[in-house]
Amino acid sequence: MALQRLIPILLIENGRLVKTVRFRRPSYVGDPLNTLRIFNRLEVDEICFVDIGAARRRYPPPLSLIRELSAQAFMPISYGGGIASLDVAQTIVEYGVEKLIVGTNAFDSPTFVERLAGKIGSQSVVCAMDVKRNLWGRWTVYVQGAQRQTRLEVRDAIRWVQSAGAGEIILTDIQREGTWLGLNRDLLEYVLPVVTVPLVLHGGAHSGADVEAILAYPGVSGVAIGSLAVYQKKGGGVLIGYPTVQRTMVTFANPRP
Amino acid sequence: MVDIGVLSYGVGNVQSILHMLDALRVPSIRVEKPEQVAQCRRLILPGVGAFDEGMQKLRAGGWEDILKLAVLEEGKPLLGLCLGMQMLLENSEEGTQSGLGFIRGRVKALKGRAPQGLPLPHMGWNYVFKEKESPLIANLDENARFYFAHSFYAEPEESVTILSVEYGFRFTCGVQKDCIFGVQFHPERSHRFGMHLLKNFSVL
Repeated sequence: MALQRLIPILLIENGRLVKTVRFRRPSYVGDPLNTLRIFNRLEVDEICFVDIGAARRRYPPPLSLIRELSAQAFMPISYGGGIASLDVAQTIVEYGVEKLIVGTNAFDSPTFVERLAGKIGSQSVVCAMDVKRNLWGRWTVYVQGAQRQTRLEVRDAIRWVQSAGAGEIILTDIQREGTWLGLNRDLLEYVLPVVTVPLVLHGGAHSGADVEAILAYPGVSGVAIGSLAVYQKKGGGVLIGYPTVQRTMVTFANPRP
Repeated sequence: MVDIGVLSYGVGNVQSILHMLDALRVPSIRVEKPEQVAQCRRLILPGVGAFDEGMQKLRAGGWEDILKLAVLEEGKPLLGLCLGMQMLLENSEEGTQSGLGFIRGRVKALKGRAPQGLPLPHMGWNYVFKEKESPLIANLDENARFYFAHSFYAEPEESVTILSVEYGFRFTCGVQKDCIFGVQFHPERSHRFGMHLLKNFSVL
């Protein structure tokens, strides 16, 4: 079994690194390449870059930046935001990026995940699933940087992307993202019974202990951290950091087909 | 002469390897043409993707004969990474092309051998076991972990295994035969553990 992972998620907008709260109010936190070099020194398990401007379709993926990030990363790297065609996906994979993250395009174009998995392999396709409870308490998938609601319920969405060929899922609780309120165990416990691919939970992590409590669940492959990786504390200044946590080999709770 | 040449024959993450060598201050170059092999003291053969595609590119680009001359005749150290290690063997279940054949043995699929239910490919960080001393892994941290991403594994038919890994079962992930070395994982994506290994290779 492979080891569990703690993954900094870094948000890019117009070439700058930003951090959001509940997917809104991006604040400047630094330069992507400088920050990557710090994470190289911190020996992070994996690093994830998401261009939130591209994700909201304001511009295509920043290819030259992605190429430079991939060249300089001493760890596996994933990229998400605005990956709308197989050609762009192929180009990014050729830069050495291990995994591509798709969200909006995966849910808007029902065959996209399947075609992408066919082109670059399931192991390189990560589905970003950003969810929020609707008025009736139903966990619902949102796209385009949490700006647009879909009709998909989270468990249905997970089953669907798994069968379409997604090799990993990053599940984000929109309401906790950037809030330091703690990772959402209720959401995790709700989805785990249907998960058959590596699952990474994201949104609200406040400490190493919070992360460890999530990694203790069988079937969790990793935790992603945003604020915890770029701020000193809630409301504090920018400080690139990486908590020390206990990782174990991943155990999978559910039999795979 | 440059310390290390990384072969750029069409598949593999050459830029990341060069970047890590640069961080180690090891003079290295991207080798774009087979003729440049003569300028390098040591060679790295990267590779990702399918076995046949890798071998076809080595053959079509005129790399195979030059590599054989450099490694087998001149004894130039060679390090194969990921697919680059698999191509050191004679053949692969993944394709029909023959490999470089520097090491006797075959490349086999994890599928059908790893227990059912285990996600494939084997992707992520894993610990390795030292099977035999080798200058490539000299003074390697006991808790060294490396980043893997593969669906096939090398099964040598001679005693060249220096490292193994467990994913459902134990298999070879590092080899040495004379000046020929190979690892299944990606040192360029494995922080100081990968650096340690590349540093060792740079002084062989």
